[in-house]
Amino acid sequence: MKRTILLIEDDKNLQKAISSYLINSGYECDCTDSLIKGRALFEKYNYPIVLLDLNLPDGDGLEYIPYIKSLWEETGVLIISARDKLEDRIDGLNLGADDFLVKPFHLSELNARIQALLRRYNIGKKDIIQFNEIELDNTSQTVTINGELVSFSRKEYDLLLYFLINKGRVLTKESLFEHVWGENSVLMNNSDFIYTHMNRLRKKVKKHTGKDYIKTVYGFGYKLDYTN
Amino acid sequence: MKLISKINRSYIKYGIILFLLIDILFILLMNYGEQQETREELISGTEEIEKIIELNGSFPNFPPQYENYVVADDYVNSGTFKDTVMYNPEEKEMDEFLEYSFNKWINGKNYKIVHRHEAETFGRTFAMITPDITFILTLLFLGLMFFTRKVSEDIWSSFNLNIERLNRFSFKDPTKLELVESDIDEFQDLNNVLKKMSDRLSNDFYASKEFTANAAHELQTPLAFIKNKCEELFSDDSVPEHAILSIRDIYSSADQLSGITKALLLLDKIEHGQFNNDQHISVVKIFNEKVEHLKDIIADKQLHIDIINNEESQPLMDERLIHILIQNMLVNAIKYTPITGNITMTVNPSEFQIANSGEVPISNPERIFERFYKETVQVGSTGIGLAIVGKIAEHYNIEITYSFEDFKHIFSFTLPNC
Repeated sequence: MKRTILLIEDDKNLQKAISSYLINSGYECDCTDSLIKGRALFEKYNYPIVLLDLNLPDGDGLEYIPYIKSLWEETGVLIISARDKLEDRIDGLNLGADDFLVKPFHLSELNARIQALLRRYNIGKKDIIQFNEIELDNTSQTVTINGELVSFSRKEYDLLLYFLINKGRVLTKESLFEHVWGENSVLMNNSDFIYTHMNRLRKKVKKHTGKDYIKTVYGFGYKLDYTN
Repeated sequence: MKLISKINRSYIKYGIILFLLIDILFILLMNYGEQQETREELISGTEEIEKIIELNGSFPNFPPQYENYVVADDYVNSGTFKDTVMYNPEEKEMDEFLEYSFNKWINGKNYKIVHRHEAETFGRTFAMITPDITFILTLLFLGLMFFTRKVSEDIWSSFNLNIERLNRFSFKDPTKLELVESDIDEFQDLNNVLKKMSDRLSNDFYASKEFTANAAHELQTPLAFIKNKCEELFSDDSVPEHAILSIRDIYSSADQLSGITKALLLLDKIEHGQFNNDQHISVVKIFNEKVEHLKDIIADKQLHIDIINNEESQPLMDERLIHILIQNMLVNAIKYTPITGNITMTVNPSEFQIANSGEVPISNPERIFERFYKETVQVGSTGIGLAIVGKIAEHYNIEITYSFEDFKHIFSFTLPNC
């Protein structure tokens, strides 16, 4: 069963880009550009995830969060906003939002966050991601390859999870950097750290699986190749 | 210099000149007055001698005061004054005298009658009068000073109160500038001008704050769109490779642009004091946290990291800002330390240092914390990371010094509020 995501975003271009990405990633996506329309949709259907912009033509998305949570507590609310104020984050999270993604974000990052939310509300079930011989247990944050426990550093683990969620997609070094460091590389004056992480991760995966799953793409990004 | 001291100093300066002038003028007036009086006395004195000679037929001579003698018939003197110097038997010295002489026919004889009086010399009058004048003027002067001080305290009280309020005033507070009303027109004018100016500045402050926030904010959505579109194309197998490389350039520029807008927004927020959740934060703790974050990179470069904790340094800072500061310094050190090099962080009570191995000293150490300055043309360096460090340091009055010793770059951060 495909999961349907409700996207409330007033920028039509961005709305289209996000929804087409989500559909390509195997979700259904209902789009709307205002709180009123979003409310009408939400009353009719049960969405596991709501992507919510804050600055909307008919009001502040923040005020909409308690309403969503009051109707269906297990809906994951992910704020997508250009407002990067700590106050907004705190307000959003206090009002019941589950995550906050600041624009401009990488679609692969959006996907990772959606997956994390879906897993979070999947209470009771084991949170395990399987990829060929690699098994990633997100509850204990451990990786087993061919039945053998392999130790990964925190950052290597984050990267591997990111690849497994976005398998088959090109992940740019910028997107990887932001995922691992939570910041744009410009702010840290550095963009080469990600090569180090990637080299370590690739070596480790190759050493334990014997296969070079993570491929370099055009020299600017990486991709978890699941064809072989 | 305070206005009151300035006034008092002028009082003293001009007071002394005025005092001298008054003194001299007084002496001249006194001298003139005394002389007039002496002349009258001399004339009336001779009239008495005249009468005595008339009655007694003679008058004894008392030189130098009184002299009379019979002179030739043709001697005519209707009365002349003259200054003369004579021996004064009382004081036993030569003295200045004013002499009045004239001739008079008494009982058929032509008499010359001379009457002298000690002259009031300038020096004598000066010595006599100066102490009095000094005393009176000093008294007057002290009184005036006391009076001025009292009046000035009263006049300036509202002014001083306003200065204090202006000093404490900050645009970051939502309250408007409130000044004490004054009944002095000049001060009230100043108050009005200040109020108008502060209102305008405060409007500008908010407008500029809003503008940067809006500009940065409005840029993010289209940037998100560009980046997301590119990302979609990257995974689209129908796009030819050469097109992918162009898209790659567009994507990378958009990402850089978004980083720069974020950095500018951050710099602007620091400048506008929007990070104000200050608390005492352990520098050592943050160092350790950041080292832990970066341990993969550190291991890969085989760097040796030391933390020397001499005494815990806990500056009063916003947690996010001290995190950014230490992270960017550490990232910078890791980036520029050669493989197998050392990084040492030393924490002292009111200072912390980050030192890393290097070959040559930085050529422009005073410029590396400037916005967009790059010491070397290196790929992946924007020059913003250290500009943010510089801005944070400036915001908290932290002094950054750079030195190069024993093949080590040493950055010292001197904390003002420990």
